[in-house]
Amino acid sequence: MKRKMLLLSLAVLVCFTLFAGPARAQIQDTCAYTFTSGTADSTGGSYMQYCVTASGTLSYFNSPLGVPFGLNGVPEIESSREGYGFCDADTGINYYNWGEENYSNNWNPATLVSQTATAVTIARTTTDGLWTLTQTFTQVANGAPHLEIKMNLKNNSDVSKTVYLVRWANVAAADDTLNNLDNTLNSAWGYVEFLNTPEEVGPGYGLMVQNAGTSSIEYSAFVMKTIEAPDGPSNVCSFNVGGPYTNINGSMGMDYSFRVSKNETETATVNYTFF
Amino acid sequence: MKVNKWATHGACLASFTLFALPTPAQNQEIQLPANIHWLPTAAGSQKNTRANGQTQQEVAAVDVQKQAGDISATDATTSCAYTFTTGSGPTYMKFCVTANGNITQFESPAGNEQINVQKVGEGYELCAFTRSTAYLYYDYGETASANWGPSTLLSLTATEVKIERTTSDGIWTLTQTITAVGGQLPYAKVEMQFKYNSATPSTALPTFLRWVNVDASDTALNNLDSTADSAWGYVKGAYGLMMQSIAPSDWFLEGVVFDSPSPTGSGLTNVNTCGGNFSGGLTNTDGSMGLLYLGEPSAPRDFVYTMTFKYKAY
Repeated sequence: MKRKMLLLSLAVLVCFTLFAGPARAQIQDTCAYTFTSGTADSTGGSYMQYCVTASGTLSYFNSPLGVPFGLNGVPEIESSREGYGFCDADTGINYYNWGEENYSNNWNPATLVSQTATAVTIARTTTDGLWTLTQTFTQVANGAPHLEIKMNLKNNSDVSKTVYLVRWANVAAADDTLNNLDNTLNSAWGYVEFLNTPEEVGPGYGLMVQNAGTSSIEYSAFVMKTIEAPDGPSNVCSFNVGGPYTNINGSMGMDYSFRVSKNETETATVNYTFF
Repeated sequence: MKVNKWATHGACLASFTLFALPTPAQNQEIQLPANIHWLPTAAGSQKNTRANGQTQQEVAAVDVQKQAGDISATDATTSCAYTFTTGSGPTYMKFCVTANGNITQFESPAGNEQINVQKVGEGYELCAFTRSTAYLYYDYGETASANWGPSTLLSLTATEVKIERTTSDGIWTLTQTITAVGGQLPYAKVEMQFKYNSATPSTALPTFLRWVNVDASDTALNNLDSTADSAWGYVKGAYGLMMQSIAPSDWFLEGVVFDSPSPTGSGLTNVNTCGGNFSGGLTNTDGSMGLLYLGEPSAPRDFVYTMTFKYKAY
């Protein structure tokens, strides 16, 4: 299934390709802010640990821990491939950072806005000055532990714009890159079925990304059978989604579509949780 | 092909079967019903009336509605006794609890019923077995074993109901606390406490199952699967219902799915198939799911097995 997209001029695409391709100049995708909650007890049900990079991606997400049978059955994100991207539908320009140093070079360096024991807020503005993305990562460690990521995208320009905003992860549930993936309208997940771990015996787990909140903006969850650009969401205005997929190294995410007025901010919130 | 997963990782079960002794408490102290190996279902099962169009209902605060008077039920029932509502739109959740502690309606998000569709079934099972015999107590709403005493309402608030019932042989008391947790991603929290009442320590191996005939987004045909602590059914392009352990458990736990929407078809009413006949992942199937706990096979008097999980839409 191919998501609806605006028709973009070839010139814009060429320009984007030339000037917004992956760059290796900024190294901000290593673990910077680590949060741990819960206990690594016999079932590990309350344990959650994740690390946020300086640029606002996740370098890993581990939960639970210490599961029975000595397995390290943790849902996690493969090789730090987690991040964000959005497409200015009016210009066709993509701004993205999918982790593992796979980012467009039209970002300024990220800045730390605030940090507490349970939350970190990171902001970064695009090099053209048109957009500022401010992300708050909050640890929720109550009976249903999860990570909440609130993404505030501000339109700094003097015109209203239509935006497609994506949160994306290459899930590797239970330490296994081969997962089953699918989605509903508000959730996407990858998991390893019980007894289907490489050790052949023991529990499987999954990682779910889910829309949270009451925002009126349109959203949909998706899964993809690929993990790499250009087949991955390197072009946030248009990318292929599908599912269900069985036993593949795939990816998943939440896709938001909204119009944001000049100098206004729109908010999308996602949760990561194990299951 | 049905696969009983315990057959592959059931070292604890095997060792128990080999070494466990008959349970003095259950074999001697308690007068057992004569039909312990054949448990007739209670008559009078009834289907609840479908919620009528309360979609997109704007409810700002959690609200509870007691739909019946003081209730003391012994027969299986799917009739709502206590209804809890919270949120609106995507955060909307409405569920109801029967007098016996079954959750027979779960609507979330607004307009998406996950349980109360066609044949309704949700409930609990305790199966305690020794090398020589087994004891099965269950109540799935649509059907129940006849070895339960009446349920007693212990407390009721705007967000929580607490229900207690003891097996008719007096050996076990089940206390359930069911809580509506509102918020951006609302859920129904269910705490089950099984207390062992006998003065003679038990050596029976107890298994506890929480089971539901999921019909995600008003649809009987679902995709179903499970992990170590969760089970779920969903409809692609719509929503799903997930049950997930949310508290550290001292017991072995796994999510299970069944290729039948009924307790009988899932093997849950047969004392010889404690925990039922599990399946692997299912596609486009009118199935059911559950969380299966394996308890410690030794319990002194007043020992309490506690299991906590949640129902959530996703």
